[in-house]
Amino acid sequence: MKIPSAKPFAYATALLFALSACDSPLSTRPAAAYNPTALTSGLYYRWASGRIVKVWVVQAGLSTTVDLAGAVARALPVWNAVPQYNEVQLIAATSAAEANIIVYDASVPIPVVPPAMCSFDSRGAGGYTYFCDGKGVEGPRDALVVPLATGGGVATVVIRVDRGRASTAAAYDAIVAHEFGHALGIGAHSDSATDLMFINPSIAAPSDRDRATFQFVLGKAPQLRL
Amino acid sequence: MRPSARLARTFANVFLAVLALGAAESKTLFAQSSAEVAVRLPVTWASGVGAPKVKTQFAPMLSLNLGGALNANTRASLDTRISNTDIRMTENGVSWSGGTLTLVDVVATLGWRPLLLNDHRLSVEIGAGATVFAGSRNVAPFKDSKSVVPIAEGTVAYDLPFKFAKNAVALLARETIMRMGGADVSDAVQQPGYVHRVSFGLRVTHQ
Repeated sequence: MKIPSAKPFAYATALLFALSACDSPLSTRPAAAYNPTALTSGLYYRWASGRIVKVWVVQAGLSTTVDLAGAVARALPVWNAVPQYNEVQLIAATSAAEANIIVYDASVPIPVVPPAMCSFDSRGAGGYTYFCDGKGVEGPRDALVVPLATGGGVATVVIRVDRGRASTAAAYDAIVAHEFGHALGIGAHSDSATDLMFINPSIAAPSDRDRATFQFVLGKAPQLRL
Repeated sequence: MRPSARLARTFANVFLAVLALGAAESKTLFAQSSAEVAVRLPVTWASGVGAPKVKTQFAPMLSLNLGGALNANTRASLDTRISNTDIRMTENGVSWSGGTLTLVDVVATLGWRPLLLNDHRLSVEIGAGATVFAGSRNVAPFKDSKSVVPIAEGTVAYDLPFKFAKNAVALLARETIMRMGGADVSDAVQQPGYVHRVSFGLRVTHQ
């Protein structure tokens, strides 16, 4: 039997390898769809890359008609789907003491003791996200941790939502998901009503514009590390 | 169809034709099975400005090859390789984990042997097939790519001048290329390109 020579294949392979040497995959991050630091005067803040962030929901004293745990459980996966490089991942904490983010409803007492330099005031909106910047420190810095009111733990970010200001359960879900956008590093409100980060969100998952903005933030070296 | 996919399909068709011809005339087909132990060097899967460099680390690789001689100088085989390695991202001076990546390569190879260079026996092999991505696929470029990607590879093997339990032993160096990126508009790797995987190992061939 006459076997075909391997030479043509060898030459073709060598040529392919040579041509491919200067052609490597190039990745990019999308541009932000809106200014992600509009509320923070240009300050980029976020969790360190590769961080697993633990979330605790305060259930003590909460009415059984308020499904805060469910709203948080629905918000986590929609935000976890956005990072392209595993920069941050939200998971449920097994106790308040190990949590990085504490989520509570306005109908129960505040579960943390804010430091004097950081006022956790609320002005009647459906949701707030708090963290404490160690101001006075130049350059990249860490947010101050906030002690829990009971149990001896600390948290870095506190989310306060108000079911009483949400007309429906779906609106409550949207507020909770919106606040997680702030807790992850979007220090802004979108000016488009179709975005989750619009000031009065009507959806409970990030839009393409929210996704692009968050991915853009994840590529920025944070001036404030949560 | 991408150029690499077209080349892989052409190669696969030729390989199957050669194999069929060989099977009809050679009783030695699949008589020379071999096993390989190799180390795959770190691989850069994607890089860019304003985006992390995605690399995998040194990876152990095992390969089982079913093959045989088509004639005195030509050999064909079907190889299955598996490797497992950590994914690391680096950006802004910070490095973090992307989980573990498992690669399974299935490759049809044609070997051309031996080439005698001053009594040193070398063989040259070319192959085409596919890589299957498994394991952690939640980071780019793996999350956006298909789970099966065509590959092409070239191998140089040097036959050592001794046998191990009557089996031939060879050192080998191999480069595998595959095209990544540009799967859709949401793919983080917007500009596709070739990924090169280089490995070195030892092959034992049953004779």
